[in-house]
Amino acid sequence: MTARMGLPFLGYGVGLRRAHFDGIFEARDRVDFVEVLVENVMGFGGRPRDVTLRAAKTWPMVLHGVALSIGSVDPLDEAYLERYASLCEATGALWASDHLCFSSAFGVEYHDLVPLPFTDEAVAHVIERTRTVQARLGVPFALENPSYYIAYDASTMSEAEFLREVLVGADCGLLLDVNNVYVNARNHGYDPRAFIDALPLERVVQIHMAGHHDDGTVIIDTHGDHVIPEVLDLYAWTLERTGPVSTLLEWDNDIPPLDVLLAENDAIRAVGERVLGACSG
Amino acid sequence: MATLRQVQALMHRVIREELPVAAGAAELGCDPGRLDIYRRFVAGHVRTALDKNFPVLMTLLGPERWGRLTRAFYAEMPPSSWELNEAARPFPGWLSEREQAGDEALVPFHVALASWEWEEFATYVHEAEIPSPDALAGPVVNPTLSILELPCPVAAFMARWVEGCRDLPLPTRDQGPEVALLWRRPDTGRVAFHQAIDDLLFAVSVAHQGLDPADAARAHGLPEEAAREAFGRAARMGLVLTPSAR
Ligand SMILES: [Fe+2]
Repeated sequence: MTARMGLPFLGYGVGLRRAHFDGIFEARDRVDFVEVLVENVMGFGGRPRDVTLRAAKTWPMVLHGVALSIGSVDPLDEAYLERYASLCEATGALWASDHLCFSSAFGVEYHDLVPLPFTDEAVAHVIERTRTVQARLGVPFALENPSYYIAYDASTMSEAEFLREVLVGADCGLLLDVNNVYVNARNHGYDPRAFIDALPLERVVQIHMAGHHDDGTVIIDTHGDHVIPEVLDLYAWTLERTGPVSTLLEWDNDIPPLDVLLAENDAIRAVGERVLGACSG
Repeated sequence: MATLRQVQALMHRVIREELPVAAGAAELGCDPGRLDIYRRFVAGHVRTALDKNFPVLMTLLGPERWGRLTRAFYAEMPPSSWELNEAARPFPGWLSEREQAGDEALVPFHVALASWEWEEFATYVHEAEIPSPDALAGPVVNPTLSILELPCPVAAFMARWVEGCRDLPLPTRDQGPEVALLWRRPDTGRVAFHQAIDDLLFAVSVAHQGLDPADAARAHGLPEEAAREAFGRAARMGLVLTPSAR
């Protein structure tokens, strides 16, 4: 399989969550790789760490964070980066990622992904910090397109332009969350396919798939439900353009029993194999 | 055009409820209903961390009192760690100040229970690695052991709570202070606890000093059989760790 930015195609994986600590190892053949949320492990011993290290020996592992706050005006958190780097080393993670947003500022943590204004100033700020992070972690680093609910007057470029400028400027990979594309396209009224076409697709090193909640007026990116057919279609459409990309199912709220999670992963795999089989055949 | 810092400062003030959502939305040029999502979510994350870390206290206080207390805590104690559970760490101390200041919703047991529930979580994720029996040359104390001094008894209450008893009278300060032991079990990774009774403290001190239980019994003027029994019980509980039989 072709490597993307030098990173291998790992197949179809799931996020490792506490609810599945007991059963996941018995399902090792139905999961190709796992992603660990670094904030669920860093600073913890006991079961979270033991299970993470065992998983790292069982599957290829990638790390994913939500608290790096790459776009914050606060300095990067050195202690956080130090722990992150040692977790990369301990797990042998193939790459790490976080979101193109800010999640803390003025000394306060939000534990949520707050959008950045799409400006040249933000691009330059994130590029510089991403380079620092890449050097510190010692593994390739990718940025994810986050879901967001507001658009700022201050923005001077489109979301796709913003992503492209950051990724090219920092020379880093894109973790393309296809559900986020769908959610943002609906919430902000744009065409998700045109958006994806405008991205530097050669930089996509991983894809996220997830469910969301549509309350009628706004779609909330909950990671708490099945992936809807429209998102699977958008995924197929994306793969037709990228070829094989390591694809990970995120399910963080209302976490279902393991068999439901695995069936969802199978459904994503079926789409991927159909598209990729057709592409190569 | 607003700078990155100006945008983040406005978002910060809205999220921290220092600026009304409508005013923030007007300055940022965004939809107020959508902006409010962030204010609600950020507060909701801390609330979730408190609900998760203090489940017994939450149940005892009930939704109205719990809601009022957690909202006040969030307003006064903004989280400063990337680790969400850390947002809950100052809660027992904050609750204690409230109780001492005369908050009528609270009694000393609530404060003691908050300390207990936080310690349970801290023990569960304690960074110390529990050595395997093969790696031991002699008995040692479980490195995740936490010794908790409480103003009123909690261990017996929690033991009954875990069994499913709900209509329990709340212990009071009149029943005297309590020292409790919490540790992570090597076999299950889950947290065990017990009141710090003499037998268990004896076993902990024997393991801590690396003594043979029989020698320690002689030194303390205790019957050897009782000393071995106390030590064996602590070892079965995973409170002290012993080398594998060779
Ligand atoms: Fe994602």
